[in-house]
Amino acid sequence: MSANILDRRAMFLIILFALILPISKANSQNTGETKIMQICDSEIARTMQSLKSQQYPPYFLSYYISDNRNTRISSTLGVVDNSSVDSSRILDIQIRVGNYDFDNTHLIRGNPLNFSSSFGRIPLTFKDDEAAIKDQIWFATDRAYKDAIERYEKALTNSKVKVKEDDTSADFSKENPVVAIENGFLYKVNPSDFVPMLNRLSAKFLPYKWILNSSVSLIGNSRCKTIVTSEGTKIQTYENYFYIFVTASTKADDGMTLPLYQSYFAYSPDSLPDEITISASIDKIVDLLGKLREAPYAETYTGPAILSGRAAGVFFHEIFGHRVEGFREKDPNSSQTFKKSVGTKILPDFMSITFDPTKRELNGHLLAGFYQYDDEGVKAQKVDVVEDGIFKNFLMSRTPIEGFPHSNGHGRKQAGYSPVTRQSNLIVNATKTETIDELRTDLRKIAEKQGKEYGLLFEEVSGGFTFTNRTIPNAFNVTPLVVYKVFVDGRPDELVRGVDLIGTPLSTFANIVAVGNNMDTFNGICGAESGGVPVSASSPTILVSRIEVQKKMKSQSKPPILSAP
Amino acid sequence: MKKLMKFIQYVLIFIISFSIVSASNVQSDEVIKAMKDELARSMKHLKLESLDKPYYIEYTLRVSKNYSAKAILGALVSNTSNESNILTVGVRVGNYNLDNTNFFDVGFSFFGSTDDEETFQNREIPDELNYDVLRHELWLATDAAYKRNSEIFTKKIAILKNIVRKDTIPDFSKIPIKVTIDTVNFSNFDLNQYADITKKLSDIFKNYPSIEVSEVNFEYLPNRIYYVNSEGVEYIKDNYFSGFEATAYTQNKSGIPLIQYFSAYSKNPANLPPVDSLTKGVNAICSNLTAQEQSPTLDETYNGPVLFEGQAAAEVFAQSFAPNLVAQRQPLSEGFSFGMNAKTTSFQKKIGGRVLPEFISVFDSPNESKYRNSDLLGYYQVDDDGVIPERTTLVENGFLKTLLSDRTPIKRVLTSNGHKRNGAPLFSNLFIFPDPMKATPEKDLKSKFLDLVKKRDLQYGILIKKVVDQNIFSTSLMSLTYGQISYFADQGTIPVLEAYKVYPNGKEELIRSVQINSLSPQSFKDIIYVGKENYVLNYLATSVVSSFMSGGDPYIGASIITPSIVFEDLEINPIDKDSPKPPYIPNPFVKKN
Repeated sequence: MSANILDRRAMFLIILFALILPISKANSQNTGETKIMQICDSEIARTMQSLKSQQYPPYFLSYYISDNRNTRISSTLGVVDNSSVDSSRILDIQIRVGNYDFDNTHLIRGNPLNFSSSFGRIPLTFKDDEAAIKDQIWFATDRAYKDAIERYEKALTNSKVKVKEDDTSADFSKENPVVAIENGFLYKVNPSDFVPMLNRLSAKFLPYKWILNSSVSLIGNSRCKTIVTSEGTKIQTYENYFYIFVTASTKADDGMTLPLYQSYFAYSPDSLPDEITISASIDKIVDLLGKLREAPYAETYTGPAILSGRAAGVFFHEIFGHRVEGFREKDPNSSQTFKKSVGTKILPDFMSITFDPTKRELNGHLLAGFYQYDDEGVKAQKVDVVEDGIFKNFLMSRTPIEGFPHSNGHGRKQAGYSPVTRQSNLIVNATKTETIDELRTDLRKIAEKQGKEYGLLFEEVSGGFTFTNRTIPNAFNVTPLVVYKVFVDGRPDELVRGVDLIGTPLSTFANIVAVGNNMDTFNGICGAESGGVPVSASSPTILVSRIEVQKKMKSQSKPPILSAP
Repeated sequence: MKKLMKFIQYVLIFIISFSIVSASNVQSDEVIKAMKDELARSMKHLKLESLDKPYYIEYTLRVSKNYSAKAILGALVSNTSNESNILTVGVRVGNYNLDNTNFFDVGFSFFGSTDDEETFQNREIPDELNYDVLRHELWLATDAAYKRNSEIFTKKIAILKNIVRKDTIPDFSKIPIKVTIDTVNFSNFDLNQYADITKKLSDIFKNYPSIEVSEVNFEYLPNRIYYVNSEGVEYIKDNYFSGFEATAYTQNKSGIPLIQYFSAYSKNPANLPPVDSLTKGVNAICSNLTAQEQSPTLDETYNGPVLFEGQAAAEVFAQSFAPNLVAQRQPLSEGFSFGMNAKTTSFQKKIGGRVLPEFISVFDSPNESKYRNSDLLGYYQVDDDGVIPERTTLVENGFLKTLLSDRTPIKRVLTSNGHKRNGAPLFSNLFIFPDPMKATPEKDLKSKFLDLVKKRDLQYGILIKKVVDQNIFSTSLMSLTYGQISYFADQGTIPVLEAYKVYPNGKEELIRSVQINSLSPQSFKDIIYVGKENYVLNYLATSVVSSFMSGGDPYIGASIITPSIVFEDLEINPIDKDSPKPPYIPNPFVKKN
């Protein structure tokens, strides 16, 4: 299992925008129960009733409908690379047979093909056409039910032939049904409102022939999420994410590919940053890429390091966040790093970590991990996972684990997947902080004490990944883009390239020695079992007494033979 | 100067039709200029240290649009249009006799490079093109293609040092140098008009509530292709097709899956059948499917005469005979045997031998746009290598004369006959042409067929009017049914969608769930009678050389023109295997008894 906070395609960005662009409201406002809810509700009732007499009747059935309007506009070298505005309506079905304690989603141990419990990614008709939707729902639900009973029997047998499970908690938590219907609309972005600006911005790369690939993109996902369950939950909410990404890459003479990016996030297209702001970021990228081409190749290193707020955010997301996603504690093959840590100290007592999906903004930064209801229909809740260094809570979906029988609103997924526990807005707080200058001084002192010539400063990262399974070493990897050597003797910092920050979680955690008095936010897409979900990670700058870097995988292909035409 | 004059004499400019309306937002002359300029620069300067320069470079830019609509029971599920520009760069290192091609590199082919190299095959480039942007893309792609192919060429040479290669024919054949323009005026296309028809057609299924699921799809794919190579061959051509497909699935009371489809294709959407005709077609499959619910299957395997009419005759030719008419060359590889489609190699060494009865000939004619009133889907005026094709006689009076080829020679076919289609050779408009004196009028064909049945003392003969289309089966029907139609998928068989027992008195009885077994290319020698009337099958043919090998599309528009045919002896089996259970949840629209 690996989880990327940000894959290459997800090199987004967003900003605050002074330019007011016309945005039309595509959907009229809804009041009360919607037609699609009524159709789903009646099909749920009919299905539950008609399957009552079967050997394994379902005890739970839910329909999850995602109405999406996705915008993708990308520009390169002053022309449109691609532009699309797509609408779709996707149905996911979750049907459970057995009971809350033991059902068809129960882990089948020893089976490498433990597929998801939902049946999904079924395209539905745009309009609330009752005949067409009922037909599609019926046919798909029947197929999903057949899969469910087959898997349930397999799970029953598996539980008999295997040893008693360590975690005997239920398969599905009982939660109070929720009825919440939000009035809203899907944003309809007119590409022609953005194309001229994107083209002007991407044309800024034209003079720099040594930059091999570059683009400026707008990506918008506007969706209405409808959840109807046999327990009585009926939810409609709107979730909107808009990004602008600037990406550029070049190659060093030794073949190393050097990418840089800048991304801006907003909840609406009219809140994206203005052209001047994006333009300035392009200047910075060009300047930094030029320096990176000439920068020396860093050597492997262990020693002290400073991680900027954004780098630290990704660092915590990878080494900590994925290990407090509750459902992993249920899998006997998972490393279960913090399973026995509740109530124990895992961080310095001046540090706390919270996951708060109810927060839209922090210190002026918008947070991509905001939502009102999770994808299992549970209200989003703030979860204090670490308080004053003490581990308190896991993030929970409706998959209970021992000692945590209920969801705290972190069951999340991308349309087409089954929900599992996922992160939201990770926020690292500290009660004892230092200025950045003080952190740099401390870094030099620690480096000197360790006999090092320099410490490292990780200023920008593109993302990372981690392994939480027992079958492979339980390591993390954070992918830096901009790294400096900070010399003990006070020489100016030196930009270096070609290293990844690696380590194992617990030992790295133990090495956090100080925290800055700032706060920065990384917004990204986290990819894991339930697909890509928007998340954020906010953290002050941190000082770690010992980290390890390894050489980054380097392309062996030469730069182009001929110069650019 | 003398050399230049000679070159000019060779350059024949073919203008088949011309339009100033470009398929993209970029002027054609700007595209061609960018391609020629980067090609000239690369041919002159592209060289890595001690390695050979390229001896040949070609650029293909495909400016594609894609319009599609899908509807279920009168409601639209999707209605999309998009466009893309796809660039493919071919670089050859070595010489015409021995170069980097006809070699299967296992590592690169299956896993690609471990380095982040630029793409040079099917490279997606910006939608909006200008001279500078196109030059930039061509530069990066040519560089990558040259490096990769130089490496492959060296590897091929190294392997050849250790083996005695039997295949010593050249790797690449020469062709006349031509400049061709074959474009059409694409009028403004209104997708909504066709989306409305799609909706209306899908609405018909509401009248047949026992049909479990159905959908109707429309697609129109106009492409403009720009091509230049370092020999001076150049073309701009428009490649386009459109069509409706209606698919439906249900189960009978025992759960036996039943499928049907209706398709109508045309190059130009304006030439698709009128709505009345489409409606009739969809109604016909609905009636057939509901009739099949009540129909019996065969009690046992049938061996005896089989009459194939219309679509079924064309489909069996398309699936079992036509793919063998394509020239395939076994590439050199590192100890493995990859690259050929082993199921379709029956005729590779058969040239000169008899493959059909002596009263049947077969020719392929890409440059015929119509047969009677039907558009032919396989029509083109210039193939993907820039070769102007002519009618190719493949089988003359039953004897195989040649195979369909591109610029990759095989032992018995050393030159191209202009059949490179989307990356590899394929048939286009394939005419199954019987000796008119030996063809039987339709009214007599059934009598002759029944005479055979009587002679064999059989209770009945089998008449097949429709068999499954491979493309529709693997795409629309497979996704519509969440894979439940794998019931029909048996290696080496062709599922039948409309078949009848025909009794000696002429009475026909519909049967369901049967498949044609053991129909090999050799079986076609046993055709005993053919009809006089020709049926035109427009369809999306499965590429013979896999798209994985060729980099082309898996399905390509083609036409088969054939009369009805009678086989003296074929095996038809009832499909006798496990089937999915009927739905547990009752159909919301009907209660089955």
